[in-house]
Amino acid sequence: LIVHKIKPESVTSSNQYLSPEQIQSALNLWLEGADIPDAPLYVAIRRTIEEGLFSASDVHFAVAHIRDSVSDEQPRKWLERVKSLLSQQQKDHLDHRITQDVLCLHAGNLPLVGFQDVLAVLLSGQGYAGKLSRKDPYLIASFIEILQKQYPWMRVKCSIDLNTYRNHKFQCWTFAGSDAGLSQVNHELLRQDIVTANSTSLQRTAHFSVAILAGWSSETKEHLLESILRYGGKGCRSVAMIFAQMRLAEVAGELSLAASVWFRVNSVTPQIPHVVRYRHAYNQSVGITSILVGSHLIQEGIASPDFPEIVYWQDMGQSGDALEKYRFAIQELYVDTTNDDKYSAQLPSVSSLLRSAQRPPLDWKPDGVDILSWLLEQNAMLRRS
Amino acid sequence: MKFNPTDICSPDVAFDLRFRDILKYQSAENPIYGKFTQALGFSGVQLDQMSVSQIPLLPVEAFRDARVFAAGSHPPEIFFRSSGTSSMIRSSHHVAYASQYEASIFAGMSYFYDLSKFVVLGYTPGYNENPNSSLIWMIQALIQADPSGLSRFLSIGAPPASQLLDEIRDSGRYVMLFGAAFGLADLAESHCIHLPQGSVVMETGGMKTWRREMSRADLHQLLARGFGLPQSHIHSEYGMTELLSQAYAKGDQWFMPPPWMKVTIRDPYNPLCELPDGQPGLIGVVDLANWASCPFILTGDRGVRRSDGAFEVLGRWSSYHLRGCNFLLED
Repeated sequence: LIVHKIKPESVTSSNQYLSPEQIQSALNLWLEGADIPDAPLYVAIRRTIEEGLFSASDVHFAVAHIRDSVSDEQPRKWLERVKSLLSQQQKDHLDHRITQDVLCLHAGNLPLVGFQDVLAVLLSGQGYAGKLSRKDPYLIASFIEILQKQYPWMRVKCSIDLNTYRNHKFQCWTFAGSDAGLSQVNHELLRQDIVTANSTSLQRTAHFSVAILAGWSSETKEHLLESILRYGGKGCRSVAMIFAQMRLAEVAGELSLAASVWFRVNSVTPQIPHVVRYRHAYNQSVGITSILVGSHLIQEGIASPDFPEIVYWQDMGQSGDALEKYRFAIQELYVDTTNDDKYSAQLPSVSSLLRSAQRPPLDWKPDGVDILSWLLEQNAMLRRS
Repeated sequence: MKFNPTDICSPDVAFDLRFRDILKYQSAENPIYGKFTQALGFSGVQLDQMSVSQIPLLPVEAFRDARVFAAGSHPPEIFFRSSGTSSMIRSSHHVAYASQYEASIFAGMSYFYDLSKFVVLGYTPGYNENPNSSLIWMIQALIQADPSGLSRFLSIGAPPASQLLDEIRDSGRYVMLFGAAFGLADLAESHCIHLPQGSVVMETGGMKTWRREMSRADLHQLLARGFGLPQSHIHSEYGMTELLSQAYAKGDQWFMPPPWMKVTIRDPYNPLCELPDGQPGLIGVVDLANWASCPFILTGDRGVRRSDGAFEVLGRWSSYHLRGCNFLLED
């Protein structure tokens, strides 16, 4: 039905890029399809869940979040905001023609991770070439399918096979992953002439986020659990370390209870990973306070963020050393809405709200970089040269 | 003393026999290991039937988080503490019996080297400067055991005196020069030193504090050049504060443990599961000399084992990359 509704637009000039309105139209059409059988997004959601790539709860949550974040013309507003910050010289170098395709290497740790990159590339007026993860091969592809049908002239494509882009020599590419794997990726891209030695890239390598709790309320508890449990803790916005005014033991009962509700509401049957059982047993043997919250473990003791299912609870006074030690790995610092004024001096100035942990705004900045701004700057530089 | 130190470290006593006795002893006498195995759901009977590849290994952090001690009311005779900055919480090893450590040091060394042919030189801080270092305690023990008086600690920053090297040559013995990787590299680069042929440079780790990026192979090449030795004479020791036995790599990257120490490579996602030879994972160690603290240790090192029991250390297990986006070529 959705596909039948699409009336392919003809191109008005060669290499024209998509306007924010055209992108919004494609987004609306794509998202509308979430509940329409046989629509690309509906099929993508069904296959993703049926093949066990992600839980139904996480997939529906991710789609609902994108629906919220692109509503109210947010894509257009993002572009306008970023453009207003460009220098006049940079603005002069932007026009309505596509200059290049941008290669986006998408991770597959959570559903639709990297969708922000797709939108940013389109808004920046460049062609999109995506390497999708085999762990999330359908969702972004279903949006690309809509774009290709609605705007057949637009340069958008995606593949789960990196070899598709052999000899393409992209001048610009984006990456989200571990710094440990980056050199291997660089080497492979160069070996296959997918990029050149002179290509520019945006590499995001932060791994986890931190919550700072000056107070405690039922909202705090709900937001904290969502930030920990959503996507199995595998997102870089997921909380791995908590610095709090109170001891874990003081809130352990409440957290356990609320976690069981979270799993029931989200229709997820928690499976306790082996590593969590092992760590829990260890903590019990040496007297470290820890609680099982479904599939996850929250524990005191010396923080050394590791497995997505293990979260470290620390005294607020220890935050300085830990934040310094892990500064290159931390994506976001969250503060609670119930912060008492008397603690505000202890809170970091660069922070966002805990409630937004798994619901970031469309223009959030992974690793502190606004990707749209970065892409526009690259585009302007390319034209200048 | 429940076990005889010399028996524990005798190459002639079957490992399995001692292993069974010590496993039983640990579950009864080590409160931390006992609680750990119970919390994992294992009964004493189940534990008794487990092999090295199956037994639960206590995470090495236990030596940092608690007092790991299995000698009852016997007071510890030595206390070791891991190196680190003053703000770090460091690991502590309360060693119940000095004689057990001594037995392990000498039996281990003798298993791999003919100690009578070596003069031991320690290019490390002296014993008085760092009495809580298990490595320095070991070097001190080796030095004291040399009746010739030629063995000694060297001054940091200064090469061994040429007169000392001449005396060693004249005695017909070789040098065994102990030192941390970065310290030895500095020494080799800043001085022209030719150790008597047949000598061994024993690098004791410390690559992570080396001021430059350098692989172990490159470091060994530098040391061989700097000390005038073939690369096959640059050896490595694998030991730690929490262990009383050491493994040695004699000229390549493969460490060989002594007969009373076994290495088992465990799945980081399920440390109860042993990985097959050739597959990298977390290095687990069963060191029977540790019977009075804990002999079943899961280290934080990444490694791989060979079918003959030798193992390679691939660095520290890097953990936080498990979180967040992780673009992988194979995905």
